[in-house]
Amino acid sequence: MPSDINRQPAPRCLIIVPAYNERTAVGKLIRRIHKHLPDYDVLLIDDGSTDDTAKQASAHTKVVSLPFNLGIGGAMQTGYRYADFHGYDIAIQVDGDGQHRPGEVARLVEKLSTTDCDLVIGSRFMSDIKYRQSFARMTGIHILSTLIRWLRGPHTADCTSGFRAANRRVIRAFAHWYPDDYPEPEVVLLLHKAGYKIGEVPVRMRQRRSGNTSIPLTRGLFYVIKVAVCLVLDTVRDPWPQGKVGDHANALSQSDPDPVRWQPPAADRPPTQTIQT
Amino acid sequence: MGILARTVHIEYGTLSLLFVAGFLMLMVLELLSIVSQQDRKITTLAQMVGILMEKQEFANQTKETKE
Repeated sequence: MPSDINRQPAPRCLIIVPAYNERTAVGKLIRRIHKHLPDYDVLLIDDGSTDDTAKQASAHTKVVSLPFNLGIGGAMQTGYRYADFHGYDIAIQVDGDGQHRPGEVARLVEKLSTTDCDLVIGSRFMSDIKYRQSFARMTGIHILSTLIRWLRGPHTADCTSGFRAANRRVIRAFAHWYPDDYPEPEVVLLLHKAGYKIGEVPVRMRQRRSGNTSIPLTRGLFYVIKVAVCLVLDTVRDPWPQGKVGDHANALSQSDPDPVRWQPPAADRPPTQTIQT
Repeated sequence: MGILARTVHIEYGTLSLLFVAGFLMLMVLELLSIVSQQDRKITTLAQMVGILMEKQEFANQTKETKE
């Protein structure tokens, strides 16, 4: 009977779902994730919800309930810290409002696995199918993307998209430090500056049907100004200094049962050999 | 202070006010820095509480299954 030796083990993937008062959407989303991606672990981060968001998770879902609301940055960092402690190879962020389609996760993971990208962003604006967005929001996203390019950042079509997949290097970096408020555009610039590679794939997204957006339209202008100032300050910031990232990994990670690590592809590593006997 | 005021041709009172304003500004920045650090610590603590509670719950479930 043929058996494969030296074959790479499948990557351990964790889907992080941050949610705050999303009881109407999150249960359905988690059911869809389990249906589309049965091999992936799902982690629901209940960011201090005042409703029963945490109870919407199914029995197979891991739930971290934060004692109070930390905001999207704090909630996401909780997920990355969890992924780091438990030795996951890939962490995928899927928003709890149901806008991100679980069926599109495979595209992000494929891009992450087949290229040397460290972070892959699912972009609404690269897809053939147009995503309906208000003029104000489109303008804000365009301003931030342009500013990122001016600050010698990467060219991204959708720098505010929260639909992302990160490999182990980025998981460790985010576990070490992650912005508090409106983190998406900031990490694009900071990761690029720190030498991480960022890729983008076109994805389809749903329009939000329930819950409240983390950035209401009335605060949109304030959001753009605040993020723009943060981006300028980020040019002199080094949140992931060499040699420090990952040092904080504590005893929890030592209990990881699987010592074999899936390695993301690297240009300088020889291709994996498969020996058949 | 008097010598400095004469050297830069600024009234003694004005210079004193500038020094006090500068000192207060530094105090505000220092306090903001302390608040930011404490905020980071509280965030990390809350995250660890959440993660450890999940771990404890998982351990309890495993124990119950074994029993």
